[in-house]
Amino acid sequence: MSDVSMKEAILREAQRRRRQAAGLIVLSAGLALLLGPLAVLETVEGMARVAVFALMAAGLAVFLGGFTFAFRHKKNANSERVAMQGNSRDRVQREYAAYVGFLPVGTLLMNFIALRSTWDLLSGRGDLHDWGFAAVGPMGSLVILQVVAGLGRGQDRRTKRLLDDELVATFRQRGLNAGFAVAVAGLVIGFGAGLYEPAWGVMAMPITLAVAAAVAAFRYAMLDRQADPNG
Amino acid sequence: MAEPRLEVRLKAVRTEAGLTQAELAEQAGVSRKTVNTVENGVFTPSVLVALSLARALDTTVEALFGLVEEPRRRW
Repeated sequence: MSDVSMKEAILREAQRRRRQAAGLIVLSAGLALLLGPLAVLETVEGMARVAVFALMAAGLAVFLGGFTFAFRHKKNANSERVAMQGNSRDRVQREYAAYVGFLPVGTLLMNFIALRSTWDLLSGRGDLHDWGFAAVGPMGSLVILQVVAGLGRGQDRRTKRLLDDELVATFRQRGLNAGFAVAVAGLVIGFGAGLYEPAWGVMAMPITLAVAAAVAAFRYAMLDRQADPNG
Repeated sequence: MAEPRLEVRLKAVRTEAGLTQAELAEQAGVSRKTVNTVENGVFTPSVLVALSLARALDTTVEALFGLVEEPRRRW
């Protein structure tokens, strides 16, 4: 393939990725709008309950719209052509960065369920299941941090050798640094909230861990993307 | 007062050698991103990577990297 047509392919792929990302953001917003009101559903009655259902219906519509848009701009033959660029090291690192960037989005629902269960336990309404669900959130965050740090991956020796170079080590370090800064800020805020209302302090722990892990993962993926000559 | 700063001449040497970033990466056994970030001054490589790049371009590390004196900034 000539340089010109490859450049066109890269531009088309960048445009597809932007549109897909926009679709995924809308999808996530819709999911938040759909699931968020669930937290207050049991506490409201009458017209307020109808309004909550209307909000959830709007969330479902936004979710489906985002899903359709993202699906329309899914990977195609051109994406494969662009992905095959570079050496095998580039391909392994690109796929890994995409995986790291997706992890926080993939664990969003899990965190939501974990936080609900944590709140139920703190309110004295929790049962045995809630103990299990409450533990799932922090565990998911720890897995994300483990992946960003590059510890205990189930990869073969060749993949590990291709993945772990100096640049990736720098990205890992910068990602974890960003996550650490968020964790410290979250702990301070959580401590303050806990002094005012102890239950809030406990709630702040899994939230801080989830946000810190997400920031570390997004920072890693962002650095990888910035380093890519194709943008 | 002067302050030493790293000057990267990798892009100039690579272009002169008629290599693309991907070709240099392949020959030096590093990723294309590594070549790109080194050229842009975003990433300072270790001695090992610097030597690999120099070997792939059949030159010396000093030809790729140098120190320039810059006046210290006043804030």
